[in-house]
Amino acid sequence: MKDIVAKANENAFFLAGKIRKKGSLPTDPSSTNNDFSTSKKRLTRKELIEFMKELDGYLQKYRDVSGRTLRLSCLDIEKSVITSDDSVFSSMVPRTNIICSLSTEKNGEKTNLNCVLGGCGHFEDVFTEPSDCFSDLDKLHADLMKKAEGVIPRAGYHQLILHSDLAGILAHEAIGHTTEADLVLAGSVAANFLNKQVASPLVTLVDFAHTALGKTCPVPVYTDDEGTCARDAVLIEKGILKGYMHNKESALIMNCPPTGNARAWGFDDEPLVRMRNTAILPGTSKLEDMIASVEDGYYLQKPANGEADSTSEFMFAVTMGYEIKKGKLGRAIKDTTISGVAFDMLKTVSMVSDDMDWNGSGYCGKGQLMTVGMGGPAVKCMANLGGR
Amino acid sequence: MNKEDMAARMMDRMKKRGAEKSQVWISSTETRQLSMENGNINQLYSVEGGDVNVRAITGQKLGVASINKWDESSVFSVCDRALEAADASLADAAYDIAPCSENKSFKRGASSPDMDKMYFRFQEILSEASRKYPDLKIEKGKIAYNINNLLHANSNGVRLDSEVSNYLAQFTFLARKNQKVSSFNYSYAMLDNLDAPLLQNDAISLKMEQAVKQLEARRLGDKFTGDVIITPFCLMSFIDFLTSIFLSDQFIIAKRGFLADKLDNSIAGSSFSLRAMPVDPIMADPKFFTADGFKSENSVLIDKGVLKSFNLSLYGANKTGFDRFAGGGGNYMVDAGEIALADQIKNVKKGILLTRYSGSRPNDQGDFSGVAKNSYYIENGEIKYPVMETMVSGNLADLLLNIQSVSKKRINFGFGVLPWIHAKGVTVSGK
Repeated sequence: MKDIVAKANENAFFLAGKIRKKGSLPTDPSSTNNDFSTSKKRLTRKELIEFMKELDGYLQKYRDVSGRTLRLSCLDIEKSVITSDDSVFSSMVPRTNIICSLSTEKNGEKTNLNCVLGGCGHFEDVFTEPSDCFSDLDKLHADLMKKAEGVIPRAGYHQLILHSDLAGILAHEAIGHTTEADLVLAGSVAANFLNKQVASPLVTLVDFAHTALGKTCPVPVYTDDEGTCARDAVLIEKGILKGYMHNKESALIMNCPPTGNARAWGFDDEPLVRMRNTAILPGTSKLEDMIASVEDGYYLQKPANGEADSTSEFMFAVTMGYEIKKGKLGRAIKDTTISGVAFDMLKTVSMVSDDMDWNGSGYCGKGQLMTVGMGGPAVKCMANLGGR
Repeated sequence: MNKEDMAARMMDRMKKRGAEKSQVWISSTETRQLSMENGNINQLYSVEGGDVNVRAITGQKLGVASINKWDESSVFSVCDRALEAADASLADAAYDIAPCSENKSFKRGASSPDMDKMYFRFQEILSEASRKYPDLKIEKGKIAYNINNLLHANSNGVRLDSEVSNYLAQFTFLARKNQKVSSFNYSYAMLDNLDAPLLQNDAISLKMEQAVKQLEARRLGDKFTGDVIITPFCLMSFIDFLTSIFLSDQFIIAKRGFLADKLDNSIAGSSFSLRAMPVDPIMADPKFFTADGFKSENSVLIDKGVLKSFNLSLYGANKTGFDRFAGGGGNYMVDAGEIALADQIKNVKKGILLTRYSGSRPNDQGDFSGVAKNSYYIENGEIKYPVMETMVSGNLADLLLNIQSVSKKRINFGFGVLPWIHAKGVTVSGK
């Protein structure tokens, strides 16, 4: 410990000799202690593997599956932080996911699809019996078979219904990143649009700290990694861009209160402005009515990786979806990519469903890895699809 | 306790507790990093880290565990966890460790950073970039000195160790003029030293130069099937798809993907040769030995379009009967071609200069689609304008077979050396 403090001092003196000191950083100290550990008896490694073997055994009934992979990921993020402005906090936020990937072969062509189960909590709190997962595995298989018969979508600009999983990643990639204050300061286009209409009035988008609509979010943050009290950041309210996500430095530069968005992955990472639980809020439409309203378009259900940009151009991969023809679901489609310019695309949102789902298995890779929550209702909009 | 003693004691513990074979990988790293944000160098931090990674094989069952602590109690606990995992896993005769060969120590790079030079080069590039490209905004940057000490030991008597140090220079930037903003872009390189100004390094400067041209990006408003010129920056992504997906253990064992049955077959244009060069002096970030415990060798994957090897580990090789890839994966180099980039562009009737691919990884058949970022429309042999909201789709297998030419010029990133590639047959679609 003494060695580390000595090195930190040495580094501080090196820089102090070369750069001017800035103003004092704002503080909003917070002392919290949140532990999401299970109170149940922990399973042994052997018991965990037996659980997974039982799931694997269940999958073997599908004779038309040519390959299967099951992966169990148990992540505990435990932090204890003390800061010089009197924040003292500790947190333990576990996350448990089972990722199942199936493939099938038809006419010499292989098709692949996966699903992710689980979320916040230790294994013992997230999964009880292997049979609890069977219906999700059945659905995965059914979707895979449809995808194997699927078609490549037509490349171009289309009317789309995005499932809530995609609305979540849209919130994260398309808007979230462009409204992180460090990117705003770097020149993201969101700097031009504060208090201006950037989306349909149906769109309200919030980066929640720990609680949304009365429930704990998938990635609850009570105090951020600079010791700042974590507060909800309203990014878009009824289509108007209302604010950004801050750490102490960006809050100082932009003369705003810090929002508690500074997060670091490991002890050896510097806290960066990161999202926490980013979601579009539910509206009033029904999903079936939204699909029925589309003459010729697509219903997109499952996302994969995504990326954002300073111009608010976004993209994310889509691994499951369907054609919509005359208001009805048609053939499944193969893997594709959706893209657009968020501040244009969000203005095309014409319906938002009245339900909401969270994805509690996502990660963001902005410089460092980070767990994030992404959520939303189903959304009707226009965007570009990749294809033939 | 030094690393050698620690490894020996760990393997002894595992042997006494039933491990027939074991492997210990101990790494310690030290980083000193200068960082900047929005024009100002604002942080200098030091990090000491590393980890201890253990593999134990008992009854043909493999267990793996790791930890980032070095005290005796912690490293012994990780040995026990590896054995516990082995006990619970399934037997597979393909699990093994490297046989004993000549043990060796490797060293590359300076043992400590030149902090004054790091600061000087940082200030220099910020000031030079600001002068040369006034519309460029460097959002974040870092220059880091890293030194990594590695020991690989196993119960067959393998002892390989290395000390490798280098500098990493990395910048994220965009161009901004009035209300116009370009896409974000980033450039990075690993370097043996900081003897030369960073802006003289193509791996860092070329993209900065392009960023300011991207302010005038236009929508394509069209959809066509045409040519693609893949820049070295983008080629890295496609090579990663090839090597870490289609040529990997997972895919070759499962006979998945379009390359699993193509060994010794022509899979690319004859001008394309891909090698792993982990111990070539040109690499600032060499890998002297593989994760399996073999000394790395410069090795060919694709030779004049013919697939010569899969990218298999020891396990993958034992499982499939194919040769283990002695290059170990990483440090890729594509042989230089014979044509200048300007002539490659002249040969394109209608197509795209693809600087960055932002999209899904290919499916098993090799189909891919994504956004063409920081890219340009080419028509009748001329670059016409930078594009926005433009998607590029295709098939990786066809793309390889349709490689028309490889450029003479290459970029050395410090961990790879790559040229520009001209290929036919991608779908380009705008809004």
